[in-house]
Amino acid sequence: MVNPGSPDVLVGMPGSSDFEEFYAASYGRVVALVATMVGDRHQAEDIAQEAFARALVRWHRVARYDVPEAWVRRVAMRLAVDAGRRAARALRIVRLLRASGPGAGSGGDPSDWPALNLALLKVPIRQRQALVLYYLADLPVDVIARECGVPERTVRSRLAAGRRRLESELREYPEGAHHA
Amino acid sequence: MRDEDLRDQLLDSVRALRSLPAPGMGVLRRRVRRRRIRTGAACFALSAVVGTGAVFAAGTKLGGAGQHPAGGASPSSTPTVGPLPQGWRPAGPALAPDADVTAAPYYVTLDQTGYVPLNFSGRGYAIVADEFTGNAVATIVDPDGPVSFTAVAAAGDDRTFFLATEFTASSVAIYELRLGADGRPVSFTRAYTTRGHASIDQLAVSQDATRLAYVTSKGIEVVSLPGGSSHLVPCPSDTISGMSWIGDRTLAYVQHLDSAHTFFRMVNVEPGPVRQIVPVPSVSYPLIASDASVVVGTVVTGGKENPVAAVEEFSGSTGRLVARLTPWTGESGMGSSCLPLWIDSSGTHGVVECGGQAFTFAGDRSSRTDVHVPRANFSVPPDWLIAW
Repeated sequence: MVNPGSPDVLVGMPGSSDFEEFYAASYGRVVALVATMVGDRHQAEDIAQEAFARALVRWHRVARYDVPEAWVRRVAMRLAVDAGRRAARALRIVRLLRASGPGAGSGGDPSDWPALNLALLKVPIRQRQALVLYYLADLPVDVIARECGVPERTVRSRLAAGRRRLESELREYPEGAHHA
Repeated sequence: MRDEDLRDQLLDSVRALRSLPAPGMGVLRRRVRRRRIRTGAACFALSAVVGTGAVFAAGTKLGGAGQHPAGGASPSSTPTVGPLPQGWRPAGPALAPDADVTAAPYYVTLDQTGYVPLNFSGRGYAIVADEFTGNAVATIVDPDGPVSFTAVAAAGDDRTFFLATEFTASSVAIYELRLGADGRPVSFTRAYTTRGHASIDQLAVSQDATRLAYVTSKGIEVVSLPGGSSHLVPCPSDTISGMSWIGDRTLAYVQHLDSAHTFFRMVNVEPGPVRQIVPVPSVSYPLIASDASVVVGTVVTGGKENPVAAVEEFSGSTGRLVARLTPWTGESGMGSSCLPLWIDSSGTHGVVECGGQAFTFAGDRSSRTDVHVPRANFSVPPDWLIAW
C-alpha cells in the first residue's frame, strides 16, 4: 500500500539524477512561457513547479519521449490556460494599478510588466496560448496543433486573430506606457 | 509590428525569467507528497460515498481465493466505477447503425497524456468504453491508492484485461479486470505484485490469461498465473516493442536495433532456443497477431522534408509487405498521425487510427467502420495505453 505521507516515496526512483539535470536546464524556459500566459511570475513558478512535479512522478515514461520538455510545457500550458481564465478578473485590477505608473522588470506584480505583455493578457486565452507558443517558444504551427489538440488551421486562425487583437490592445495604451 | 519585432520584444520581456534557477528537488518532492495526501483524503471521502451506494453503480470485487493468484495481497477496497471523468472526450463521428462490427466492442484505456487528458486531481484511472458509441461504460480507480495505471493488456476472450499500476517506488501491482457481457466490470483483483520495478510500460497477457510478461531493464519477466512464479528471459529490452504472446510458451516482439536492422523475433520462454528471427522493415508501434502470422505497424517515409506515415501489414514468416491498411498521411513530428491500435488473433481484423479518425478494418480490406477512441495526440505507443 502506498503511504502518501512517506518521506521517501521518491527516493531511489530510477533516473532521478537525469530528471534533476532536465529540471535545472528547462525550468526557466517553462516559467517564462507560463509567465507570459498568466502575467504573474510567482503564479508562473507555481504552475511550472506543479508541471515538473507531475513529470517527476512519471519520469520513467516522460524521459523516453523525444522531447521531455514538450510534455512539461504541455501540462504547464494547460494549467496556465485555466489560470488565465481566472486572471481575467485580475486584469481589471492591473488597469487600476497602471494609473499609478508602471515599474520595470518581470516581478510578481503584473503592473511591472511591459505594455506588450499587458496587452497580451487581454488577448483571449486560446489565442494567447497560440501566440506564446509560436513567438516565444518558437514552435511551428503543426507542433502547436498537436500540443493543443486542435487542427493546424485552427492554430493559424488563432494566431491571426490573436495578432489583430494584440495590435488593437497595444494601440489603446498611452504614449508614455512602458514598452519592452 | 513585424513578427520578428514581436518575437524579440517577448523574448526581452522574459529574458530574466528564462535564466531563473530551478528551486531544489525538495520543492517538487514536497509538492508530490502533498498531492498524494490530498488525493488520499479524497479517496477516503469517495469510499464513503461508495458505501452509501449513492453514486457508484457497477463496482464489484471478487471474493474467491481461486481468483486471487498468488504474488500479491487481496484488493483492499472495492474498485470505484462511475461516470465519465471531466475533460475526457471520445473522438470521431457517430457510428452508422448498420455498421459492420469487426472488433471487440469494449476497450480499456488509461489516464495518461496522449490518450486521455490528464486528470488534474492527481488520481489515475482507467476507462472501459464502448468503441461503437464512444460512451464510457465504467471508470476504474486503483483501489490501493492514488497512483497511476501505466500499462494495459487484453487476453483473448475480449473480456479479461490486466492493468499495471505504480504500486510503490519499487513494486508494481498488476490487476485483473473482468468485464461482463454489457462491458461493466464484474471483478477487479490484484493478480500479481512485482518486486524491484518502479513501473511497467509493456505488458502482455497470453490468450488464455494464464501467463503475463513485462519488460524490465534486464529482459522480459514471465509470470505464471495463478501461483505467481516468475523467471527472467534475458534480452536487450530497450529495443523491444509490440510484445505479444504466441500460445503460452512463446513470446513475439519487434526488435529495432537501428534504422537498418529491425527484426520480428519469437523466443521460447521456457529454456530453449530462439524459435524464429525474421527481418522486417523499420516499423513503429508494432502489433503482432497471436498466431504470429502478421506484424502490423506504422511505416514512415518521405525523409525529414516531407514525412508521411501509413499503417502496413507484414508477413510474420517472411517479413514481406502484405497490405497497406491506411493511406499515406502527413506527419507532424509529435508522435505519428497514423498508427495501429488493435489486431485480432489472426490479424484479419483490427483498428487503426489515421488523420485523427479511428476505424476498423476487415479481412478483405474493403470495408471500414469508424469507431470512437480517445484522440492520440502524443508520442506514447498506443499498445501501452489501450487494449481491446
